[in-house]
This record gives sequence, C-alpha cells and structure tokens, in this order.
Amino acid sequence: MKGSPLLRALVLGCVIFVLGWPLHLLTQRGQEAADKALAEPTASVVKSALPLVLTFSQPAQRVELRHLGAVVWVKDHPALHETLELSLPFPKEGLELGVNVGWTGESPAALRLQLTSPEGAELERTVWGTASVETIVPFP
Amino acid sequence: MRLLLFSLFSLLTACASFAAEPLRVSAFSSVLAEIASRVGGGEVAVTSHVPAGSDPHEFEPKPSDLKTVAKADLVLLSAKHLEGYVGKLKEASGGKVPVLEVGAQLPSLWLEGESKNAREEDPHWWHSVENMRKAAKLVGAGLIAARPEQKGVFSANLEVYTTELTALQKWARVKVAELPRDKRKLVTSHDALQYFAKEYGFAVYPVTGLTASEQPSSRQVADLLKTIKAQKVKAVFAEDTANPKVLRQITAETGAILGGQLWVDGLGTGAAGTYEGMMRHNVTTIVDALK
Repeated sequence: MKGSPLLRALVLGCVIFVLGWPLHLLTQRGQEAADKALAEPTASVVKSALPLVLTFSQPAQRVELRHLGAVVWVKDHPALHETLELSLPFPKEGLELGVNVGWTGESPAALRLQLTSPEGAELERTVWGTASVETIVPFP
Repeated sequence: MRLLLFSLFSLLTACASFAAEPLRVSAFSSVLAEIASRVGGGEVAVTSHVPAGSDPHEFEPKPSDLKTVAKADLVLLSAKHLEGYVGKLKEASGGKVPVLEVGAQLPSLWLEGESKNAREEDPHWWHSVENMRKAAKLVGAGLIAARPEQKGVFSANLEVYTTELTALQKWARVKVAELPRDKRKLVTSHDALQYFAKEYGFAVYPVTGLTASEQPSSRQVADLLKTIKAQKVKAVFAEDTANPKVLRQITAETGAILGGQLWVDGLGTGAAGTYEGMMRHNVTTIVDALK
C-alpha cells in the first residue's frame, strides 16, 4: 500500500469507525433493553380487592386464611359456600394463602378455593384432608 | 466336660459379639452421615469423612479415609459430580464395598455453564426436603441390603426420620409464606440453593458458579450489582465456605444489607449441626432478612 504513514493511519481509523459504529449502536441497544427489563417493577404493592369463593365438601367447624403469616379472614361454622373479598397485594409472581380448616367429621373432606386475580383470571385450588388440614396454597 | 462347656460358651460369646458388630458406613457428606446415623440407629457405625463446615467441592480423601473405606460395609456418596475422587474410593475398596451414589437417583437441576451450551449438574440436592425424604429411603434400602436381618429396625427408624422431615417441610412452607413472592430473591456467594429455590419459589442470583472457590470476573460483579439495584434486593447472604469479600463490596455499593450466613455445602455447627437445625437456620435467616 502506497502513501504516507499518516494517510494510512487516517484511512485505517476511518475504516474502524465505519465498521465499529453500527456494532456499538447494536450492543448499546441490547444493553438498554436488558437494563429496561431489569428495571421493570417486579411487583405491585397496591392492594387489590380479590374475590374469593370457598366451597366445602362437608360442614366445617372453622376456617382461617392467612397471608404473609397474618390472619386475613376467619369464620367459625362457615356455610358450605362462602363468598368473600380479600384486600391484598397481588404481585406478578402471585401470592400464597395459608389455609387452616377443621371439618366436623372424621371422613376425608375438601375445600375448593376460587380466587379471581386483579386481571380477572379465575384461579382454582383444592385442599384435601381428614378432620383438619393446615397448608399453604399458591395462586397461581 | 468342663472343657467342652467352656468351648461352647466361648463359641456362643464369639457369635454374639459378631452379630452385634455394627454395620460400618463411610459417608462422604455430613448430610448423608446424619441419614445413615438416624436410619441405622445403634446398628451402624458411621464415619463422616467430610467435616461439617468444610468445602466438599475441595475435599480430597486422605490415606486414612481410604483405609476406612476399604473396611466399610457401605459407602455413601452425594454424587452429581460432587466427589471427583470416586474412582480412588472404588480402587481402595477393591470393588468389594457397595458404593451408594445417592444423588444419582434423585432428580437433577442443570445450570448454565461458563461456556456456551455447557450445562452443569447442580450437586446441592439436599436443600430440597423432598429430596432428603427420597435420600433417606435410598439409604434405608442400602442398609437393609447390607444387613437384611435388621430390616425391622431400619424401617422403623426410617419411618420416624421421614415423619420428622415431613414436619420440617411443612414448617418451612409456612415460614417462607411470610415472605411475599416478589421478594423471594436470593443473592448468595455461590450457586448452591437452586433446589431450595425451586421448592420455595425463589430466584437465585449467585456471585459465582457451583463451587465456592471460584472467583467472579469484574463483569459478573458489575452485572450482579445492576440486578440487585434493579430488583431492589434487600439482603445478600454469606456462606460457610465462601469468601465474603465480594459480598462486602455488594453491600457497600447497593445498600443491600448482609442478611446473615447460610450453611450451603453440608451441615453446619452448633444448632445447625443437624439437618433440621441447618434448614431452620437457613429458612429463618433468609425470610427474616428479606421481609
């Protein structure tokens, strides 16, 4: 290659810039997208009114619902169908309810929980037990 | 006649002492040593080769360990590539001692390796209580195979131990439920809590990979700092076998607190010297710090 060393260096610099600039833009956009994804709020701390329907297969003596370790609803001798509304935060990861139920009989029994999420999704879980059960129920 | 009676008595005494000889079990994990002791009860003599609080990833058997293995009736290994020295053990035993690779019969979690398309099997299966129950049954079966006449004792002990594990699992679920699901983010020194995370719905952000001795690159640390800030992680956790230097940097630069020390590579010491104690310590430390 002919020409002065200065000219050759300038040409090389231009080539590197022309090739490197689009690459820089591409990687920058990728990084920005990744940063944005990371910065997305992971949870809604706002409480929502969550409709919940409890259906017992046989009469219960007592039912207790807990959220984050605290009792949020409790009832002695509930009806076979109970409709209630819980005011709880529902992050995108979901929530868990602690369920403690005692039935009057000794035979196997069930409790169905139908929760409606803030987005309107119907989430259904069933708890089985004999005489009583204490468990954690995840939604979804 | 006297001589005959004496000989008969000596023979009976010898037989009785032979029958009472405990089953010799060599365990290469403090967790497996506990399982063998609990299920075997007084019928087994367990040697725990990897001391509590030491790093099993770095452990290498000494000649004295190999001698013990050669005389053992059963060898217990965590498996899932945790014991790179398994060949040495088999060689030491001359292939005559049954080697039970417990983890090989448990479901695996696979983690992304350092190179692209490389996946590594996570060996820390004991952080799932469900896996522990399965492991106890496997060890129980191994003990029964080694000494079938003690099946009743081993089965009864197994029943008691698995009932305790079930209660522990229930307690852990209730305790973890105190923590909102969007706050279940674990920043730990190395990637040892994936089985725990899967069982209790956590996301894990480890400083390094599967072994505590790995050193993170500056790029890895920078990425982690960014994640901790973006995810608003409240606390990070030190480990028994890992250098806390990077965690100190993380707490200084992100405002996250040091949530405490977790026992991740086996049983701990003091109250964490049993599986139940270790799990209760880890779960309580994590939940209370992230609340």
